[in-house]
Order: sequence, then C-alpha cells, then structure tokens
Amino acid sequence: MAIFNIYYSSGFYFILLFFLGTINGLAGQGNCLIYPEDSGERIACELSHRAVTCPQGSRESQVLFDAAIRIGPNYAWAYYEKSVPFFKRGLLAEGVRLINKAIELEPRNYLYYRAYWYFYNRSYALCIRDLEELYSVHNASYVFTPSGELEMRLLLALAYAQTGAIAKGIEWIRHMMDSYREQPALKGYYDHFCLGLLYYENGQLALAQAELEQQLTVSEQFADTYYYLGLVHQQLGNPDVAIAYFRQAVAAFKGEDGGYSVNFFADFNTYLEDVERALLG
Amino acid sequence: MRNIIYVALLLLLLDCAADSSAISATAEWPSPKHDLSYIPFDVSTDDPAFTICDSTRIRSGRNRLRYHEGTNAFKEAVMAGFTTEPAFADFNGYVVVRFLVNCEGISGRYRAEALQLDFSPAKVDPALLAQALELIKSLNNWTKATDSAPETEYFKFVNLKIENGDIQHILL
Repeated sequence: MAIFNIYYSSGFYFILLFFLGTINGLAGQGNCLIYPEDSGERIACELSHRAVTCPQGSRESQVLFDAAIRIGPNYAWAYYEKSVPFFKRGLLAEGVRLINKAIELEPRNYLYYRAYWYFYNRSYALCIRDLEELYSVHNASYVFTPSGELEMRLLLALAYAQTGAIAKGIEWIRHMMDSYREQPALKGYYDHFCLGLLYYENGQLALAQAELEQQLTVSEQFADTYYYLGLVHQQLGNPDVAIAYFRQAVAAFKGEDGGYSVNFFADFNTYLEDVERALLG
Repeated sequence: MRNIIYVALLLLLLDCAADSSAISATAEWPSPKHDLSYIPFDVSTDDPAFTICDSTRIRSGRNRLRYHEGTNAFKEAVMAGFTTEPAFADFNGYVVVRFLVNCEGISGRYRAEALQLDFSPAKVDPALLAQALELIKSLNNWTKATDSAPETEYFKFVNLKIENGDIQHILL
C-alpha cells in the first residue's frame, strides 16, 4: 500500500493517463491486417505508418499521407495524422479541412481532436457542440486530450463555464466523477481542482472549498489549488487564511518543494501575477 | 549541349541526397524537401535580402521563440497598437499572423490569414489583415530559446481572436 501511495503521488496517474491517451489514438489507427489485402485502406494504412516514422511536418511525411489519402480515401487515420502538424503551426484552415474529413468517416474517434483545438483557441461554443455529440450521440467514455493530461469532459465543463453555463459544467464533472466511483484508478489528477474552480465561479463556496481541499490530497505541489483556496477564503471573510493560501501559491509558482503550475485550462489558467495581485488585494 | 548542361545542373540541385551546405550559405536555394513550417518567398511582399539558410529544418513549437521583453509585454503592445475600425465590426473569428526567424535571428516572410470561428477561411476587410500584419511585423525582436544552436531557424504564429472587430485574445 505504501508503494502504491508513492506511485500515486509521483505521477503514476500521469503515466496511466498517457497510456490511456495512446490507446485512444490506437483505436483510430487500427491494425493494417484487418483490411483486405491490396485494398485501398490496407495500402493507406501501411503508407500512413511509414509516414509517422518521418519527422512530423516534414515533406516526406506529407507526401506519404497524400499518397495514402489518394489510394485509400476512406482511411480516416491518414487525414487525422496529416492534420496534426498544420494545427500545431497555426495553419488552422488546412488542419480543420483534414480533420473534418476524418470526423466524417469516424466521428467517435476524431471529434475530440477538433474539440481540443476549438477549446484552446477559445472557440468554446464549437468545442461544446463537438463534445456534446461525442458523448451524447457516440456514447464515448474515457477520452483524453492528445497528450493525455485531461479527460475531455473537463474541457467540456470548462467550455460551458466560459459561455456562462457554469451549472452545466459542474453537472458534467459530477457525472464524470460518478462514472468512475467504482474504479478509483481512473480518477484524473485535476478533477477535484476543476470542480472546485467551477463551484467557486458559481458562488458555491463551501462546495468549492471541499473540492479544493480534496485536490490537495491528490497533489500538494499544484500552485493553482492554493490560489483558488485563497479566493474562496477571501469571499468567506477569512482574510488571514486567504493570505496564507496566496503565499503558499506564490511559493508553489516559484517551484519551492516541487511546486508547479500548468496551462491546460485556457482562460482559467492562473499566473504568478494573478496571485501577486490577489496578495496586494 | 547547353540543354544537357542545364538539365545536369538542375538534377544536381534537386538531388535529395545533395549536401546543401556545399552551396553558398548566403543564398536561399529552393528545396523540394522543405518542411511545412517553410514560407516560400513572394516577390510581391517579401524582402529579397531576407533568406532562409535551410528550409528543410525549420523548427516550430510554441516556446522556442521569446519576445525580448516577455509575452505580457508583447500582448500589451499588440493591444495598444491595434485600432478597430467600423468596417471590422461585423467580424468574429481569427486573424493568424505567421512568420519565420532565420539563422541570423531576423524575422521575415510575414503572412496574415482570416478565419471563422470554425477555422474555415473568412472574408474580412483587407485593412484588418494589413493592420494585424504590420503590427506584428513591427514587434520583431524575438530571442531564440536555445543558445547552443543560435543558427536554428524558427516558425512562429500569433493568433488574434477577434470579437466584433476588436482583439479579444492574443494566443501565441
């Protein structure tokens, strides 16, 4: 049990999430042998696998994806993989043109990817549209961001909150947490934080405090938790407690005792300047 | 005979295995193997003096170039420098400005593109694109994140999210 706790606190869950993210990718990619020999899909699949051995965005990889798409136009993974370097370079029009085609062929496998780019480019209404379809029409279960940091339902919840529908966001996170109540290993690293953040935004301070304190049992190093606990206590009329939390947030932002922050939350990201401003108060 | 020499020279230039460093380093030679990050020279807009040393190895990635005064200073300068106009008011979407920073640390090949919220191409007042492009172009002091390979070349983009014709977000 002690060993399990060490793994838990040292990012075992990150590794688990990473592999789940990989499996998510593999589901779209498939095994080339499942396609009939000499079929367009089989050749497209093999060419695409060859393409991903070249550097992403290199001419060689793009030429191989183009060949794959020409020979097997119904092979979705080629469109998806070809789109990735376009999105990463801000060539969003070409990226979305390609991923739209992959979504047309296999919506359950690729809707999350378009939603991910909509979220981080602050196109929240379209992120919501895609993820609602993913979960409500295609009954997706555990889907993660491409690098595996967050469950997509957290992005959906944060997107709802950004459009003013905070209660709907809270409902989605609670629904997500209920779905793994029997399987605690599936719990995400930032779930309590996101729920606490939305409760705070919705003015439900006692619930926010409880969730953020839960988040501290998952990670004592994550700076943003202290910042929001400070905000909660500020609102509750406990200025001394608030200041103590803000100071802990500053220390964590500066990397003391392994402290850190992340920028997974788009407009809900916290920066050191936010905390310093709160301290000045 | 002259044709044979021309074709031989062309084949020599287009040989994928050819060592590009053998060619004069001060000229930009077209390579069919250039990366997606490469922005080809456009005679109507680009400075001919701005050259790319190796179009096949341009790095991209968000944190590899830093604005010399920091990201916040960059964002403040963009906000301060942008003036909305009545003709922009109907536009909700993105203006993405992309450019290259070459082996000498100079930026060039600026391009601006307007997109709708779903990332499909958008039609906007040309003055909006022109203003965004000139503004980003004027903030051109970019520092490379690595000291170990200062000759590395980079691709960078700045995404301006526009709401009712004004900048709502600066994403970079």
